[in-house]
Formats: sequence, structure tokens, C-alpha cells
Amino acid sequence: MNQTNAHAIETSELNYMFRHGRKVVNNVSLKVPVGSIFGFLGPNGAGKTTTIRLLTGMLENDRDNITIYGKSLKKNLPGIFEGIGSLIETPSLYLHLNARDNLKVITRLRKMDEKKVDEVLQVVGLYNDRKRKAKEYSLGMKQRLGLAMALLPDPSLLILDEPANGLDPAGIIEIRELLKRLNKDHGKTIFVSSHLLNEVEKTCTHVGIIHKGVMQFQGTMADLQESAGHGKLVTIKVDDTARWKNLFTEKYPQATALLSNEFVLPVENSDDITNITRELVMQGVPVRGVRTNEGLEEWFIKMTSN
Amino acid sequence: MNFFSDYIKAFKAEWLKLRNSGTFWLVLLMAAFIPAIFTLVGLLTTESDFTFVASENSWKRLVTSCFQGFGLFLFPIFLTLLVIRLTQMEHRGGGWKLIEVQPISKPSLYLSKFSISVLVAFLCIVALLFFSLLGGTIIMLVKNSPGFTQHSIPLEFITRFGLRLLVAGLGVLGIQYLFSVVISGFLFPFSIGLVGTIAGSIFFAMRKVLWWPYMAPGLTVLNPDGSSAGNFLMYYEWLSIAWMVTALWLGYQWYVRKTFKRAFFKPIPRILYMLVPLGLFVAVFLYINKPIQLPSHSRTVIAGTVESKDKFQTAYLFAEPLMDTVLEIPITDNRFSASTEKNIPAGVYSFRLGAINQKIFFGNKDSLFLKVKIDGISNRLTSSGTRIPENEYLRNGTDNNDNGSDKYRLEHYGSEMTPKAFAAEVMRLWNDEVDNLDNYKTADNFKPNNDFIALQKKLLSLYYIKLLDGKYAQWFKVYHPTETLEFPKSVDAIRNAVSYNDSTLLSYSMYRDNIADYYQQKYKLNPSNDTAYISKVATVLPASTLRDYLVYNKIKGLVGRTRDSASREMLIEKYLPVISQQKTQQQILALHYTLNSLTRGSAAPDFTTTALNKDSFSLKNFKGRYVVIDVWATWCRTCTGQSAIFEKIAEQYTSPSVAFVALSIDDSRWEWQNEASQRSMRVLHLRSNNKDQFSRSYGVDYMPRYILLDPDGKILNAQMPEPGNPAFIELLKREIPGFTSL
Repeated sequence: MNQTNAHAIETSELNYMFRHGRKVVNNVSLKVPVGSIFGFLGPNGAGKTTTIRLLTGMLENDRDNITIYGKSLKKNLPGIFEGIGSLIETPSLYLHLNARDNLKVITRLRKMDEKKVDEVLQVVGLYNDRKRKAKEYSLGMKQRLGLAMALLPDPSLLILDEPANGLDPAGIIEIRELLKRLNKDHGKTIFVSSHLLNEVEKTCTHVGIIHKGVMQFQGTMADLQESAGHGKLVTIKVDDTARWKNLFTEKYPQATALLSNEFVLPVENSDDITNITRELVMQGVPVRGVRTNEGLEEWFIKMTSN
Repeated sequence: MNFFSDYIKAFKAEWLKLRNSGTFWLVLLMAAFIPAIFTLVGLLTTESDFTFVASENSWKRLVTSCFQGFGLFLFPIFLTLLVIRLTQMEHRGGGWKLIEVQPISKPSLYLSKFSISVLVAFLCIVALLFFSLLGGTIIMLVKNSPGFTQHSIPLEFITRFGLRLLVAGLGVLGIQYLFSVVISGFLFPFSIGLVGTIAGSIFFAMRKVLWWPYMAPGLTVLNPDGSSAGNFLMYYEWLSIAWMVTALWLGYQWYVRKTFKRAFFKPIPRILYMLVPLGLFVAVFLYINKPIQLPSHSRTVIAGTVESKDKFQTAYLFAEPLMDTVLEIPITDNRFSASTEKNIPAGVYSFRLGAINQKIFFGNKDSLFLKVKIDGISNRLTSSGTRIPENEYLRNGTDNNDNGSDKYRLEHYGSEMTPKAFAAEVMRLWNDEVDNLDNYKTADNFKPNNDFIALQKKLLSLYYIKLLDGKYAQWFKVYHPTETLEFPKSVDAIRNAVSYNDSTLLSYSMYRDNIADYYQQKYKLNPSNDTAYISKVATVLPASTLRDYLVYNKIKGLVGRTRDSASREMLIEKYLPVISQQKTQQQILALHYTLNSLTRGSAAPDFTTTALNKDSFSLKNFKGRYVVIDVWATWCRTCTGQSAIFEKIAEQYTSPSVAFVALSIDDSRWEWQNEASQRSMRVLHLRSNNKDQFSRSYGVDYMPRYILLDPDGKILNAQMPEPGNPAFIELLKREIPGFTSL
């Protein structure tokens, strides 16, 4: 039973320290709203996986400061896993079993109907390879199987650690669409960690950014964009920045030259973009490409580089 | 019951994980390997290990043979590999991660996987049993071996044996599970299993460190019949369970807390999680491993059953050396149970039933149950009760024959050693044997009671004293006639262990021989002068069973050889009082009266005998003829010379009215047949069917003994002079008309 105002996941000053003093997770207080797709973002080594392991009870936590749907994680292990499906780091598989048998292990542990096995194999696109042993799978197939094992029990909360890891671009898109569908059509809360800003932007409703074990930001996507502060940025590709430098310095003093053929400048809105482009074309500048970004990437890199 | 439902779910998942894991192939390989070899050997060779042995079930022998190498080596290795395989599938694929985020409690996960390993181990045992029996059936069908068709498959034995073997393996399983779960590699847990197994084999060969868990299956296979006290499990099998429980507990704590430090040291109070179970384990270990001395029974009882086609009436318990009857045990329907209030001091007695004559250790408040089997081919007696370890010790001696060659050296080449060196070697061997005696225990962990140990220690000491004061002293006198022999003070320890006045030791022949020698030397007794001997002993020793023993045979001999009743009376009057025990006196008097009754003209007691050609002869067969009887036995050395003369006389004086009979009182028919068939045909060779009765009725106290009967079955002379004595022929000439002219 959900408590009305409870978050799907809530941690309160979560800490974790490996042997020699360095805190890998430092006072992390997460609030993952029910029904959200929460992107847990951070560079490699930021503490994402450790946090996730703490969330799933795989690391010993001396304090009782994690709740799932308002219930204490520590006090409700292992029963609390009834409503949780997870995929942590590399997928946990039985290499000597085929996909079906791997999934059947879970149906037996959770006393589920075995028919669901084939269903979920279809969802992740492994139905045709279901009889092959897991040790023969490619990285991408193993990832899909891991995902299938998280999805199988139809949980209300999914905790996924880099679910698109090892997938080709088509696969990445598939996963993205699947997660959005699960969230929108089935109301599942999804907590997904990633180091890919683009993916998080395209998939998530909420974001939490962690760097060196410390939370740098937590909030909705809109909040994020605002925090990023700079509004829109437009990148204009030309033949040679040196040639047009003077023009830009005169007309658009806020522009910066990026690489040898790109200028970046802030804009207020899309009309600005149209005006600028027209202006440049009329001036004779060979505009080779126009790209917009939210400024998020830069802001993100800055935030996570010190 | 949350745990139970979790456990069932986890168990089903574990069973599924066995698919494609190679586990069943491993089981098949382990189980079929040895039986396949045995079957091949059995089929290809003519001499088969499974030839028909009537006394033992061939199937049982086949099964126990197939399990020999398996129990000690292959089985522990199999268990090691099995557990590694089961845990590797979790370590390698991240399986632990997977199952730990399922709604299943950790104890269920941990124990369900262990249960699977127990189940697979059980299947392996069943498979090995199956293949053994299959192999036996193949051999039986192909070679038509009678052994297998004559015996039926002993299902009860197989079930018990298989279950015991499984329990014996639980210790190994528990320990290997502990290491395989917490260590993710293959090499380390496997090395532990391998080293443990090899150490077990070494300890097994040395018969030491019998509590080593990797050795337990080997011990089970060594003792296929199990506990001699009738327990289902033997003590080290219980110990195996203790190992398993402790290892599982420690392993679980380590598994759940992820690291050793966090499991038992962080926080500090967690050390109790290790110390308390270890403490419990040590307590249980000491309790189980402590040798048990069987407690006495409430009464003194001998009971048992007889398996035989014949029906028996009575069994006897005789006390050595004088063979007085301690107990007469009536047998009804081939079962017996006798309890007595009589005082029976603990010692070695002879149990006699039919042809069975077995030494057993028995005494007051002992309960003895004997299973006797007499089937004409092999006679067997198995005993159980309150004196199991004592009787086993008597039957088998100690396994420790390492000292055999050292003892031989002392006995035969000791003269080459100086007194100091000899004494040192004697002390070393004595100490070693006393140690072995103190540490002796049966496979069931039974230890003899202290009275037995004290007794055996005395006998042990006696042997070494004899070496020191007997053999060595003699050599010393020869090589150093002028010097006095002095041993280091240390040998006094041996001397003090036994006294020469210990009547409890009289039932042991070694003691009897020793004290006879001892007193002979001490008092310079002349063994060939009976009367002087008896008189001297009477003066120097107080009245006691010991003195009785020393003089009994001499007095009995004197009485037995005296042909004249009045002279016998005089001897009895003079010497019988030297004997203190009335029962013993009675025996001599009985002899005297028997001889009295065998006076000339009295009816000869009947006898039943069998000839070489298996015909039966009794007194009536000789009606109408004079019978000259030579009473002898193959083991009577003094008889040989006289018997030869007897034969010559028989050949010389051939007549249809005189029968020359050689009547043997041998126990062994074969020995008698061998000997008698080589003798002269002129003498009719007979063997008594009931030698005790014959000896008693004719007062045969010494041999050779010569008896003359008349044609009417009456005694003419029950104690003839020996054939070598001219009086022999004189007597024959006097009594048998027409003898001179033959």
C-alpha cells in the first residue's frame, strides 16, 4: 500500500565508505516521485552504481535511511522485492541456461505463471533466441535478457543501472521507447542511471545529478533546464571562423568560436535563430549547419569536471 | 511458515539450475566408473573375486568391494567438485546478485542450494549401488556364478549402508559449501577439498585422527555392517553431522555479512556468532569422540541363539585352567538365556557349545549375547553386550604389529645386546604396548573397561619380565658366568605391574606358564619329582587358588596313574588337603571313584565311535571278542612311541577273538583321519563321538592309556601297563586264553 505522499524511493543522507576513508556516497538524499522516470546522472565513478546497490540492499547499510513507497527497505527485506525489478551493472545470468530457463528461475522464485516468460521475451526482442544458452549471447543480447529478468515480475518500481549499455543505436531507441511506454501506459516508476546526458534528456521526467558521491542537482527536467541558466544556445557551422570573426564580434558580441568552424551564441527563442540565420546568409556567410542545444551539456560538463 | 514456502520456491529454482550444468554427467561418471571396471574384470578373468562363499552374501560382497575406493577418495572429491559446480554458476554469472534481489529470504537461498547438493550426493550413492548390482547381475548371467543366484539382494543392508554413507559425507559437504560460497574462485575451494581428502587418506592408513571429516565416508566403507552395538549411525557419522551444522552456520554468517570481518568482528559483539557455535561444536565433538566404556548390566546374563540344523541341549561356561563348570546353560529351541546370582570374577572363560569352543571375557553384571552358527563347514560365534571391546581385543589382538619384528629381534638376538641396551629396548616396547592398550578402542569408539585393561597390562608386563628374567638371564649366565646380571632401575616399572601371586590371572595360559616357571626357579622345584614338588609347594606357599593350580595337575596325575585303589587312597589322604578349593578336590576324588568303578569285572561304560570308513562302533559291536584299547590323540606326543609298539603287537598276535582298537579322543576329525589312515590296518581306528563323556567315564586323565575288556563287555583292566612294558604282554597272555599260541 502506498502512503499518499510517499516517494517511490526516498533516501535520507545516505552514506557509504569503502575501506580506506573515501566516501563513495556522501549524504545523498534522493526523492524519486511515484510515476516518474528518474534519471540518475553522473560521470563514471560518481557513485551511481554504489547508490543503486544500496537501494537494492546489496550493500550493507548500517542506518535505516532508505524507504521504498514509504516502507523501510532495511526492515522489509526480502519481501519488499515483490514490487521491485532491478538490473544492476552487468546482467546477472546463468550462462549455462537458455533465456527461457533463466527467466523460469525467476518464475519459480516468485511463484509466477510461466506463460509470462514468452511474453517478456517478445517485449525485449529475444523470443527467437530463447532456446540458446546465455553464454552464446552477444553483449546486447545479454543486456536484453537482464532487462527481461527485471521486467518479468511486472513490478511497480524498476531500478535499472545503465540499461542501454552495449546496445546499438537502434537498441538504445527501443529501450527508450519501452521505458516511456511502461511509464505512461502502465504507470511504472523507473529509476534509471546513466552517464549519457542525451539519453536522460530524451527519456526522463526527473533528474538527479551526482558527482564524486555528492548530489549536485535534483528536480524535474524543466527545473534542470532553468538551472542550466543559459537558455538556448545555437551553434552555427561555417567554413572558417577566423574569416568571419570580426563580423561576429561586431554583430554578436556574445558569440564564442568553438573549434575552427563553429560559433556558439546564446539566443532567447527560436525567432532569434531565424533572424540570425537570415542575417548571416544575407551577409554572405556560408552557413553550413545550424544546431541548437539547451546549453545543458556544457553546464553538465562544467558541473562534473572539477 | 514463510521460511518453508521460500525454501520450497528456492529449492525448485535450484533444481532447474541443474539443467545443462554437467552435474548429472559427473554423477554418472563417478557412479559407473568402479562398477564398470569390476564388471569387466569379473567377466574377463576366470578367477573371480565373487566366487561363491557360503557364509557371506555375494551381493553384499560385491557392493562393499565397489565402494572401497569410492568411500575414501572418489566420494569426497566428488562432493568437493559438486559443491564448487553449484556455487560457481552463481559466482560466474552474477547469480548471487540475481537471487538476492528476489523476495526470498537469504537462509532459504543458502539452505536450498545446500539441500540440492545433499540430494545429488544421495543420487550418486544410489547410482553407484545400482551400477554395482547391475554389474553383479551381468556377471551372474554371463558366467552363471552360483553365488549370486543362491543369495538374494540384501535390501535392508543396502539401504542402511547407503544412508550411513550419505550422513558420513555431510561433514565434507558442509565444509566445502562454506568455502565455495564465500570464495568465488575454483582453485582455492578445490585445493581445500583435495588436501582434506588426501590428509584423510593418510590418517586412515595410520588409523589416527579418526575424527577428520574427510575420512568419515572411508570409515563407513571400512565398517559396512555398522555399529556392533546395534546403533543406526556410528559415532563418527554423528560427528559428521556436527561438522556440517557448524560449517553451515559459520558459512551462512559469512555469506550474509559479505566479509569475514563484518561477519564476526564488526561490530565486536558479533564475535559471539563465531565463538558460541564453535564452543558448542567443541563440546559436542569431545562428547562424541570420547571413548565409551560400556556400563554394567543389572544382572549377570548370557543369552543367545543357535543357527544350526542340529538341536543342542546345553552350552557350558568353563573356567580355565581347571575347566570347572561355571555355568550350565540349557538350550531350548536353539535359544538360550541364563542369568545367575553366582559370583563370576571378570576374566577369560571358555564357552562351549557343540564343536564351538571360544574364549570370551565375562564376569559379574555383564550381559553377553552370542549368535552361534554351526553348519558343518564353518562355525561362527559373534558376540555383543557389555564386553564388546574386550572380546574384540581378544579376538583380534591389537592391529599394532609394528613391534612384531622388534620383539622377534629381542627374543632371538637379544644375547648380542648389553643389559642396558636390552633393558632400554624392552622399556620402549613395553611403554608402546601399554600406550596402545590404553588407547585401544573399537570402530564404534568403545573402550574396554578398566578391569580388563589392568588385566591385559599385567599379561603384557609378564611377557617382558619373562624376556628379562628368563631368556636374557639365561644367555647372560652362559656368556658371563662369573658376573651378576643387573638391569637399570627403570625396568622395575614393569616388574611392579604384575605380581606372581595374582589368582585373577590364572585363566590366562601365559600367566600360568610363567608362574609355574617362576616358582620352579624360585624354590628350586624339581618338576619330574611329583611328590617332592607338591610337598615343597605346600610348605612355601599359603593355601590359595594359586597353590591349587600349581599342585592340581601333579596330584591328579599321581592319582590317575596309580592302579591300586588303596594306594590311591593314601595319596589322596596325604596330598588332597594341599588343595584349598573343595570343588577342585572333588575333581580329584571323582577321578578316584571312577577308577574305583572300573575294577575288574565291572561293566565297561559304553562308548560311541566312528571308524575311518564312517561306520559306527559301540561296545556291543565287540561282543564275543576281547578288546584291547589304545586311547590316544594326534596331539599326544608321548603316545607315538607306545602306539607303534601296540601296532607291532597287534600285527604279531592276529586272532578273530581279539580286537586291537586305537580309540582317539581328537576334536578334529580331519587331523585324526590324516594320522590314522597311515597306521597299520591290523588296528581298528576309531574316533570317539563324545570325547568328554568317554574321558569322564573311563577316567582318562593321562595318555596313552590302555584298557582291556572281555567278550561280555566287562572290564578286565582299566589301567594296563604300557605296551613297551613287558608286563603288557604278560597281562594279555594271562587274561586271554590261547593268546600265547598266537
